[in-house]
Amino acid sequence: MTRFDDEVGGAAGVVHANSPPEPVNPAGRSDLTDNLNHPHAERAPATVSTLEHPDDGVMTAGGVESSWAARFAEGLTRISSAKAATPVRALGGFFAMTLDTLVLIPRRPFAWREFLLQCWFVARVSLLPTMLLAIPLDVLLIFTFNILIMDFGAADYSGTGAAWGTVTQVGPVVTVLVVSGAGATAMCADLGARTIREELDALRVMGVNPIQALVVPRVLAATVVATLLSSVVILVGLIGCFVFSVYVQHVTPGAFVASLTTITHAADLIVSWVKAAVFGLSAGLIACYKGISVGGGPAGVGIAVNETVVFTFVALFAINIVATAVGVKVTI
Amino acid sequence: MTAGVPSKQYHRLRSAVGGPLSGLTVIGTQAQFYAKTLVSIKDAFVHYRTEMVRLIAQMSLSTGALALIGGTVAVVGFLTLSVGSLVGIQGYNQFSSFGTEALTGFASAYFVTRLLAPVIAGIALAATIGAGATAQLGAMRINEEIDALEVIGIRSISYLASNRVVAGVIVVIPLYCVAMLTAYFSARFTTTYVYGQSTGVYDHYFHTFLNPTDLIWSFFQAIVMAIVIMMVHTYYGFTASGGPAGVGEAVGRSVRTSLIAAVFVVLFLSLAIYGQSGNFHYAG
Repeated sequence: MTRFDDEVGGAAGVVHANSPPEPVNPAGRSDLTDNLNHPHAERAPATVSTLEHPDDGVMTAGGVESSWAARFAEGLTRISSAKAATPVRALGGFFAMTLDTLVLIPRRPFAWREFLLQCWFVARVSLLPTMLLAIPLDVLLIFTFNILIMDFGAADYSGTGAAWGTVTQVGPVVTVLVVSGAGATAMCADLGARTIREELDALRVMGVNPIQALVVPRVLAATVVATLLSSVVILVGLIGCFVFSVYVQHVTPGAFVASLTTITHAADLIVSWVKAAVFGLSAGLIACYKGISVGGGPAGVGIAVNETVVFTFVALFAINIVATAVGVKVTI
Repeated sequence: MTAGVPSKQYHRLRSAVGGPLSGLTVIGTQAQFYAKTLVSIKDAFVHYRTEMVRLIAQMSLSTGALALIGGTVAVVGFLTLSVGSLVGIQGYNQFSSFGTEALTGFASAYFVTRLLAPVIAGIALAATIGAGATAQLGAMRINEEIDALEVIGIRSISYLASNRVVAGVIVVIPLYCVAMLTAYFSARFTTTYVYGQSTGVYDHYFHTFLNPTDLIWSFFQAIVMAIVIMMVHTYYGFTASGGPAGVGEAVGRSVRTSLIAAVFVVLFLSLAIYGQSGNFHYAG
């Protein structure tokens, strides 16, 4: 965030020093992008204050009595550049970027090449870890569940628990743990390194909107791959459950397969896909936001990736509660 | 510099065999690093106690943007809170579709203790403390600070890696207490306040099926998981290379590896602890 701090601070300086201030752009770059009709949410406060309060500079420089509105605006600028506002501004910046991304998704030119490359990349780094994470988790689940139902004498319903746990919870959650742990971290590292090398600024200067060229394909790739991978997780998980239940815990294979669909229906599967898609979308958005707002050298990229992991996991579990509560209403 | 190296014989054969072999070398290097880390824990206790205390404080409260949202404790608490309420939501609705919603308290006591709390705590540890350690160590490696430590005569593995493993184990104990309590309370809150089950029914089934031995084993799982996670993360931080992007990639790879390792640890420990008998008696 330090980069934006500097810019906001710099913009305020411009306002106060030059009287009468022209509605110039803070770093002299955004005119290019603004002409090309590419919104820049990060720089919005600076531009707004320059345009809406053109007499701020006169006030402070000349010592004329300042109106309430002008003082309010000045105070607002000060607060917004203070350290205390950092988390709030980060949140606002995130939602601004999300809005930019969603608006730019249907807009042409769509970066097909980047999209396909990112899809392939996310799928490649996620496929093996997904299976390696899905199998032990599902086996753990079915092991715990089988102990329980064998005590009831209802081992024939082993498949019910396997299908229900895998489809409603393990499938989408494991998918996004891996997509955010493997794909989103790499995206954040890549974008962060580019931000530090000022490649994104270079793109803006050339009139290419980095949100459209880099962020949109990445976010969409994370969404698509998460949805597709969740099917793989469910399949692999169910096979793992079957093998473990039948060969280790001696459940009848026919009963296992027959009881799979007792309480798990097509609606559950669709809710599970929707969940996976929403998780993937939010993981991609968080990773890209953290990537393009990196500051502070190699340590900064490392910290940004760490924050990406933490925030995606937190967002995942928060979304999961809401999605589950809604899904339960839909399916039961 | 490129000239003067004679081309090797059997190039294709070498590259076909060399690929898998270099993978084995990586595993060997990792094992060597882990052994060194564990052995030099003694050194860490003898020579670098101050650093260890500093790391414990840093890990439990965490630094930077994470500290603003409440640090590791808040993240772990939030994840287990959401899982607990998930047990409430899914458990209550699913059980009431059979007419047995009284058993939600049982689901909390059984599934949270044995399955959910260890797994979620592992995920939270890997994401917060673990990934943070990789990011720190990776940045140190890129800035050649680790080499500088070696030059001024500090045992870098002991100072950086062993200290972090010990600190992780110490930090996980209060964190796991927080995790268990939040999960239990949020499951109870969701079931009794949101879905309106009577607290007496919930508490009866919860206390009947809460097995103290399970709790202790669950703690044991969490501690073993913390050791594994910290070792994996310090290894990836130690061997980071390739500039700023390299640090980020190292963090990603370490999160992936440590998640898989943690889940396998929980699985095998569960199989070893609960075994075929299950240590579970519905009929008392």
